[in-house]
Amino acid sequence: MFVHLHVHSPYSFLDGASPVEDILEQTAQWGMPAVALTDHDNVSGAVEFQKKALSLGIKPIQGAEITTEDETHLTLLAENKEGYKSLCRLLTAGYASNNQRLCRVPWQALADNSQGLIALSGCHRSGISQAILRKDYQRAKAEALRLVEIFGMDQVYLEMINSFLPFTKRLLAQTFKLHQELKIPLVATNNVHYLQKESFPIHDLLVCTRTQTKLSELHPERPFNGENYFASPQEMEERFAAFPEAISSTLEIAERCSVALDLEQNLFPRYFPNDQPEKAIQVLTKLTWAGANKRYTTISSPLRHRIEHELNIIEQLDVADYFLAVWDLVQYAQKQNIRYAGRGSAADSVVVYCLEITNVDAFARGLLFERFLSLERAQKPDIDIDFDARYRDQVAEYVYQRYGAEKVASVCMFQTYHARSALRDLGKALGYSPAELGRLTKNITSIPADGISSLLKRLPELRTHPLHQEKYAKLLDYCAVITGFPRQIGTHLGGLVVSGQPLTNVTPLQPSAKGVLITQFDKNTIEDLGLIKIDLLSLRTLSAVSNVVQKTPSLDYNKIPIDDRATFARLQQGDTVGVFQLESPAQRSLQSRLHADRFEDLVASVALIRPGPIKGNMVDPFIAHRHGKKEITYIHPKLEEILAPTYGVVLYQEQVIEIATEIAGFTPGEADRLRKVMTKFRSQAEMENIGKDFIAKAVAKGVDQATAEVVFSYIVGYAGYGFCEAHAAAFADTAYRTAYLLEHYPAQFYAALLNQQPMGFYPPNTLCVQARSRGITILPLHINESDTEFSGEQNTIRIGLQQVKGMEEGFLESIVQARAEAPFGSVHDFVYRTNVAKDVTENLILAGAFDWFSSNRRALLWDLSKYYQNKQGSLFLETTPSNHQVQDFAPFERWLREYSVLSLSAHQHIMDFFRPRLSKRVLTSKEVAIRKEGIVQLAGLVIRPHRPPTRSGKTVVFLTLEDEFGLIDVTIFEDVYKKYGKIIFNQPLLLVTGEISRRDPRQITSINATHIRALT
Amino acid sequence: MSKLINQPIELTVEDNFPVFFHFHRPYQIKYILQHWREVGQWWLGEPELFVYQVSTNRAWCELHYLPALERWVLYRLGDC
Repeated sequence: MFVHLHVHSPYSFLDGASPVEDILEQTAQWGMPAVALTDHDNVSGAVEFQKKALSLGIKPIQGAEITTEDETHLTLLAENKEGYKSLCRLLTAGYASNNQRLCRVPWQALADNSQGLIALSGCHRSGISQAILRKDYQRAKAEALRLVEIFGMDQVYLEMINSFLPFTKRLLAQTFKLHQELKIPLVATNNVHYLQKESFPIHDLLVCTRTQTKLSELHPERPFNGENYFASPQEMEERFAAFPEAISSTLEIAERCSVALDLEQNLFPRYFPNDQPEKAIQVLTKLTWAGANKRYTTISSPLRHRIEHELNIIEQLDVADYFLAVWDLVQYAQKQNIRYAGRGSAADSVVVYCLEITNVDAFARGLLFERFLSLERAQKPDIDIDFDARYRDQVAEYVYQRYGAEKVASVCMFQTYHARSALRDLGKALGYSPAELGRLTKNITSIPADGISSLLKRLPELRTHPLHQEKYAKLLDYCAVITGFPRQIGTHLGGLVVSGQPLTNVTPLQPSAKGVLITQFDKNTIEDLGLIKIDLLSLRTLSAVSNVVQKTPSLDYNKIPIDDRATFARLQQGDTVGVFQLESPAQRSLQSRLHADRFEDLVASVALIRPGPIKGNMVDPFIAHRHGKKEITYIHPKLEEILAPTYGVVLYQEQVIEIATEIAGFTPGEADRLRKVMTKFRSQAEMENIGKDFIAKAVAKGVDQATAEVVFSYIVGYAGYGFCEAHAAAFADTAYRTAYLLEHYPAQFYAALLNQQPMGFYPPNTLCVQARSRGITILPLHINESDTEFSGEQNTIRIGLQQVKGMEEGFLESIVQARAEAPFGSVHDFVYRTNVAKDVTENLILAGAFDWFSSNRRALLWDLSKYYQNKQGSLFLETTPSNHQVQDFAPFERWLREYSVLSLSAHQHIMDFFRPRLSKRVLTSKEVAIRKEGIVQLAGLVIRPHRPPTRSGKTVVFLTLEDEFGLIDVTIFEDVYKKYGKIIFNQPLLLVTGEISRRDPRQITSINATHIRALT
Repeated sequence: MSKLINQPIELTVEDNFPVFFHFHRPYQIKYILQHWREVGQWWLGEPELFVYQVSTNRAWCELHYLPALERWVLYRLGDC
């Protein structure tokens, strides 16, 4: 029997061409008792590898092929848990040894961290092989002895790879000679990079991608042949017929090794490391009750019971330290006046509410704690917190300082191949030109790489796409193979892990492109290692809120009344551009139909406008039931209690848990597992098994079979789509408060939103149009009056200097400093007294910043070069403006240039220029908005055309047309989309003819398009 | 010195290794000096190639075997 001990997976980043799963399936099929995973300089696949291997009855041997400081390769296997730790430390040392984010393990680090490792001498790029190939046998001998000195005689094997390269014979012969002379045992491997020989082309393409070579070009790293596949035991025995001991060594090594990853531990640091572990839960309990007394006027018996229940589960799961750590974090944020908002399933917890981590009263809402944490689920808690985007990094820095840099790291994320990246990389390797690649990737949306063919068939605008041509058929096949392969490692947006012991005991750390140290495991596997993640996220909405609060001393954000009628009135009109989570066209439409008049309506709104409820046709029934237009019936009385708050509609994941609990008697934890399985929805068979279990248990509880089946069908219909109610509530809280700001402090709020761009659904210009429609004047850019940021006062918003294209921090400082001494008297005064680059000054002129000197912007530009030429350091030669009579730009060109440098316009909309040319039949958005029926024509700027999934599966496009007065939403159904798809996504201005949607008389007016043409 | 031949030949194989072929005269392969496998320009449809550099009773030879076509080629002939 043979065991493969040198195997690469796609985690070798563009060097492994077959998934871990496939390799393990083959291992099992051939009855191999073990297999090693040895990716290049990382162990990212280790958790997935171990879990899958054990499930197949295969012993997983963790390892890595490392690169040493002299660029040679060495294969290391973890013999045991200690060996795995050594490997993590070595890889970390390798990445820390240089500034280029490459792993180059110093030999000293190998000597210091050799415990528990078995060293296989390596492939043809090893120190020994390189010496043999240079015909330097003595050097090869020295390299071998060095390995023995570092690892010990019992821990070193001379690796033999018979992959039919020109030098293979010599390598094998000389390696055998070393073995005879030094008595170091031999081991056979095949340096596996792919499963089958037929997969070689994929490997070659990936290598070309990695080395930036085309297939037609030579590169030393390009594989010479396709022999490094996962050969069968028989094939390996044939290849090593002359060295049978090399084959038997593989089994010997496999038997020596034990499972190296410990997936059962809890590594979160003790909050009180010098005290008894019980202190954490005691302190947590104290803080929770203190918080409860603050949050609640009275603590009823059910509330007491609830808090005790949660604390009990927290204690049993031994995660009190985690809650304290997060509490400590938000305390820091509070002291630093950094705005934050907890979100996600953590809002299901009353303890978390009492600790002021979230602002959602889970008790009042009747939220299920088990959605967040349960004994049966056996998952670690995961709390996500949004912070004011400006200070998120400061909060992260606090965590590093608090726990120590060696115990904190960012979680990595893997950028994996999707359609466009696969087409680009593989196309480039195949030799396609940049222009051709541009054509091939055009209009290919963000889909998996194996979905391209089906996309080409589905979308009308791709009917004439070049990828239909036969010559690209193979490219599409190759793309499909690499779908989901990790392409490179990056940083997870907000995830930090904190450990009680040095992180390098469980994961190597390597620097990311952003400069922070990241784990080699992503959020999907980091918890399996015993680490718990805290998500510190940036939310620009909170920055905007802080902006408003800072400028408005009279406003107490935390005391905003939850039942402000004016706020709800605005929501009911669907006038919600700028409101967190509620500003998209679908949300605006919903708000106008729903007529929210209480907070619960907003919670439901956040959950309703998602692919699932839309596809599941939940929106209409919800609205109808909410307004009593349709009778709500429940096929089982227990459903009424659960679904009454959402008017009979299954809307939240927590409801699924409750249904499973009440109807089928699932324990809360079992039910949450059900919810999780259904959310992932891996296979039909799995769903059917769960269904059988549910129905059987329901029947056992006295529910009749037919009813049980119908109830289960509700859950199935909902599967994969549900929203966590706690998360919806957390978001709704911020949504409501931003709606309040929009209603009562519009100028300040719009200015704050403009300062935080890019954010939200709409571009900055749309915010300006909205502000103007509220009677707010947008004051133009003024070199002496404008602040660096947008500033909103009573009824005005002044454009800020930072909005100008090309503006940098240094330029702004220079302007502010110079201006503080004296206002600018002219353009040349400005050039003289600031360090602003010429191109940015040009942009300032085009943006109108100097209009008060002269409204003739072209004339101002005319003299600009002269001013810069005459500026020599701090000297400035007297320069008089030229006497040339330069005519200013024509109005449209002036507007266009202003828009191009500001991305918005203070006074005019582009439609102001097109309107005079249009027939009177073409209505404005204001005129359309008051109509409730009929055929209309409307023209405007296209905002955010998008194609969300629909219930029918047919393609429907939604877009918004913006004109000088406001917005009108347009729906384009499939038949119209097929005719005009190409125009919709490629033209900035459209003239749309359509029928006013009569779906709901209360709904804000929208149009169902029948004809579309470009407006030129 | 070697001469490019590149002609198909009939070759006898034993235990997966070439042992004898005929090219105007009989050639007995004494031993294999080098042996490797190449994929060639697979993207242009080139088949995989097995290369054997062998010492025979008459000369040094480079033999190519194309597994896809099950064909042997005498590629080069050199001095012994």
